[in-house]
Amino acid sequence: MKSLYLSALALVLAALSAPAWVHHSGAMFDRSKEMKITGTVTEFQWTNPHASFKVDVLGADGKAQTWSIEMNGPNNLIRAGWKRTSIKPGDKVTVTINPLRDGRPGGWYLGITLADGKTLGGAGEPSGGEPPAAPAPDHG
Amino acid sequence: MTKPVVLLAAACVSLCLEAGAAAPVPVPVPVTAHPKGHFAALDALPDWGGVWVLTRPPAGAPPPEKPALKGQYLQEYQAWQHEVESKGGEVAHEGSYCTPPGMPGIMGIGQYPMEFLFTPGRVTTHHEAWMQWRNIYTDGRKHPDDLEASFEGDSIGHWEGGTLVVDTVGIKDSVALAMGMKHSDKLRITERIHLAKGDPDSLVDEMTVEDPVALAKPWVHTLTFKRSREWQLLEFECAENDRNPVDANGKTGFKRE
Repeated sequence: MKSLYLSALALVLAALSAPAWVHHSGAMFDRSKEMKITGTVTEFQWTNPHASFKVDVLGADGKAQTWSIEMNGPNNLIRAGWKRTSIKPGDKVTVTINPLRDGRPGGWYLGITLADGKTLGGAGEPSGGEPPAAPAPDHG
Repeated sequence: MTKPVVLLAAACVSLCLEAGAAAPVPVPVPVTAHPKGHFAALDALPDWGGVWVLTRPPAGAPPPEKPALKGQYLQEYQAWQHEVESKGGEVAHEGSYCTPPGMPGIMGIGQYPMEFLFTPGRVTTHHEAWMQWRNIYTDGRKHPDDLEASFEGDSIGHWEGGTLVVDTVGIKDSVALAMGMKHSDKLRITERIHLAKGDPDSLVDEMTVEDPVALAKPWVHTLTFKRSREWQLLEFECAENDRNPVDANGKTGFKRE
């Protein structure tokens, strides 16, 4: 699992495929687990070095639990089709994540389905590191 | 590092003399530094326009060569590897993860593009990640005798046809050669940067890293980049919202807020 161990340089040297950890360790996320959560966006932070958002997920008891989702940086998300307006508080979304290892409600963003059914990626680098022939399409 | 001193000194020549102060000692600079004009000559240089994104070796390709450390540098690296394994992937990290990697790491950053700017007597690189730059002086100057170590080092270069040959020394001790790998003050990096043969939208950086104290042999490896003429560099202010603080044991945190 050295792919989770740190910097961009390590990634380059090892030519590994988990490119998101450009500036820090990703060891707090369990990369062996993927899970989907569905809920309502309550906050969206569009900031470097990592964007993030929160989703309130209703439990069986009818109480909402707030999940904190960390993402790639805005620069890379923009090139994968994201915009600062892609999600906003109140939006119903389904998010795929690698959950936190420590069991707290949070995780690393892998992909999202928006309320209108559109999907966005941007978990890692687009096209295996190669820039697209044209700017990433505006998803609306 | 001498330019601001020179400018300040120049300002002081007029202002300080009026005030009756002693004239400052002028700091010598290369006579060729920052020549006026000469922009038309840049047209002869190759087309490196747009931004460049690091490409990964194709699947199944042999892994790139790694630095062959020796002596205490090898022992320290092995101890670092042991620490990484014993801590489940977490490792002590100097400073914040917002500290830039310096040379040679800054040339090998994935995802975040870089660009080259040509001006008379100089090639400047801009790196989106951590918003770094390198000054590569092509005006014929030598490295300073009294070198001020820095993250990117002191770079001088010259053109051999369409190839920019860059010689870099003076990289800070705190800058890693590669993750967990240290270097001595004898570190010298030579780069031969040129468009790929037969693919004008690929750029190649043939890098030779020499350090007779830390390395058993020169570390020779090649970085390749793909061009995008559509992208532009975006702002990357790492301290804007650092959600992943690092504790004294090197454990990376996760802020829920």
